[in-house]
Amino acid sequence: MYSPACQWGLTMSSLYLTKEPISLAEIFSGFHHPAAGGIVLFSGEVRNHHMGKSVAFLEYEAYESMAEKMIGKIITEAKEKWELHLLHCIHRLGKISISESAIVVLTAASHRSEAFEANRWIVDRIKHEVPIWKKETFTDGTSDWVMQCEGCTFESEFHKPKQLHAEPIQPIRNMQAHFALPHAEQQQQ
Amino acid sequence: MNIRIKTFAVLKSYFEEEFEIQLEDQSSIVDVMDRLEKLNPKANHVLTHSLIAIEDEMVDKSRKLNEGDLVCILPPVSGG
Repeated sequence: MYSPACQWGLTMSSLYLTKEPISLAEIFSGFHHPAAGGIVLFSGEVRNHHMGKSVAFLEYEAYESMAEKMIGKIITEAKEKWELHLLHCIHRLGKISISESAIVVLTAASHRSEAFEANRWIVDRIKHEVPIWKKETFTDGTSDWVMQCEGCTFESEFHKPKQLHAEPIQPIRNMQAHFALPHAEQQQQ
Repeated sequence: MNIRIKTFAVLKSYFEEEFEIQLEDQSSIVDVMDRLEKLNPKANHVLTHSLIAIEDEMVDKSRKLNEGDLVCILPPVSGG
């Protein structure tokens, strides 16, 4: 079980990513500061439906070294934009069950407006920029990599929901038929 | 020169997770993407929207490559 207490034992390379379940109770219990009048905890959780289909579970994958650095930069920018007394951020990787937390961001500020604004800004930046991907497995046994947020209109160089809505990924039925490996190309030449 | 390619998420359905390609000296990311599109045209709609990273930094497609570079192909992200 991931909690802030065990975070200190991790190396710098795994500050913001964990393969362990995240304990909201443990994180929140220690998240208090005498100067903070507003504490916001956001937990992005696995829901049991997506685009009308019944979801069994999610799996998250990351380009871990780069994701750690990018989240670190986002955290640094957030601290420059808002006066936050405390800030905590963790993203889960691996297989995650319904109602478990995939991402948790906590912000503590003197007043609620900064705590809310900073929290949402951090979550949005992480969702739309950091190299983390989720794969949905549905209750009918099929699975798909997600390449857009449901109902999302955010667009950046990292996130292209509109174009990909027009041409959704089709499940790969015959993996071998879709592989064209370098050695095969060399043999053809 | 030899260039190492690493793919993530949905792109692993179209390519091996890690493999090498051979390119002419002075090649750029554009040449990598051209090669990948030829290797598996079915992946083009993902490759078109993918970003490229080398050594944990996003790079422009005009970036020139060096022998042994590890080029990471990042499909549209979906964290959170």
